[in-house]
Amino acid sequence: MTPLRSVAHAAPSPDPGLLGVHLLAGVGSGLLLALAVAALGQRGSRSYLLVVLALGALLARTLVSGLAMFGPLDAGLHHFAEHALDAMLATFLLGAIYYARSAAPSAPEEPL
Amino acid sequence: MTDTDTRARIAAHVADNPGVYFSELVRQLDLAPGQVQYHLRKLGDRVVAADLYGRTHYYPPDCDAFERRALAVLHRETAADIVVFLLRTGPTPAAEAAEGVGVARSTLEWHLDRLVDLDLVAKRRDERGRVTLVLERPEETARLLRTVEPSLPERLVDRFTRLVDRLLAE
Repeated sequence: MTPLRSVAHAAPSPDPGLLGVHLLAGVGSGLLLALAVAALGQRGSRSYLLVVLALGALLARTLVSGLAMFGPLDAGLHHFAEHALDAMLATFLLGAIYYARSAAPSAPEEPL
Repeated sequence: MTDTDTRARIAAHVADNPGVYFSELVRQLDLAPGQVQYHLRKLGDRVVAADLYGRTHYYPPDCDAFERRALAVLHRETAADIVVFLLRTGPTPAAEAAEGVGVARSTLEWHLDRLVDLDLVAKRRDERGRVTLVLERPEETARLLRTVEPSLPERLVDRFTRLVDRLLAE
């Protein structure tokens, strides 16, 4: 038996539990992304675009992990991709917060 | 089902759900988009169409212009919440309305843009010069409010924007 590599998150052959969790994560983040895209369609602001990108990164995390589970992506690359997506997610959310001020409609209400 | 039956079903659905939009008709009646399009054309003036904010809404012919505009915007849960709040409390300053409805100021302003644009709500200045929100036609609006029921996807998108606006608000 070959020793497990310390970087591997997923076993080479998918076990049903892991598959189920991936399915849940994929459906959940897919729905969230759909909501965010619909909201972006309404608002069209930079903040909402960044929220869409952040949730896109969340969905991509599951996709990358799925690819690793079924073979095409090797464990080292999978590990790197996951953490790179985490970094992107955090960056997009920080951007969304930064742009929230300028995205909010200004309501000038100077008392007469 | 014959063409006449399908056409009657579409007309009846529009009569029951005035302000329904195209993709809702397709989904709720379980028909193909092309089919709905074809029958809507054939229905002629038995169904009235109005384009509002990039969406085509359909109404029975007895809907007047105010009803058409009101039904289109009251479909949004938060817009309806704002209207209900104003019905309960009467003319209210904008900042108090945002707090009373429990939404971020940016959410309130986005919905107000439409409510004001469609003549449901007016922005007036009170004696102290503050912007006050006033319902243009409270009784009619209250009556129309009882007839609309937003769909689940609509509610979820509306709540998503409420949450994000609140999280991002300073």
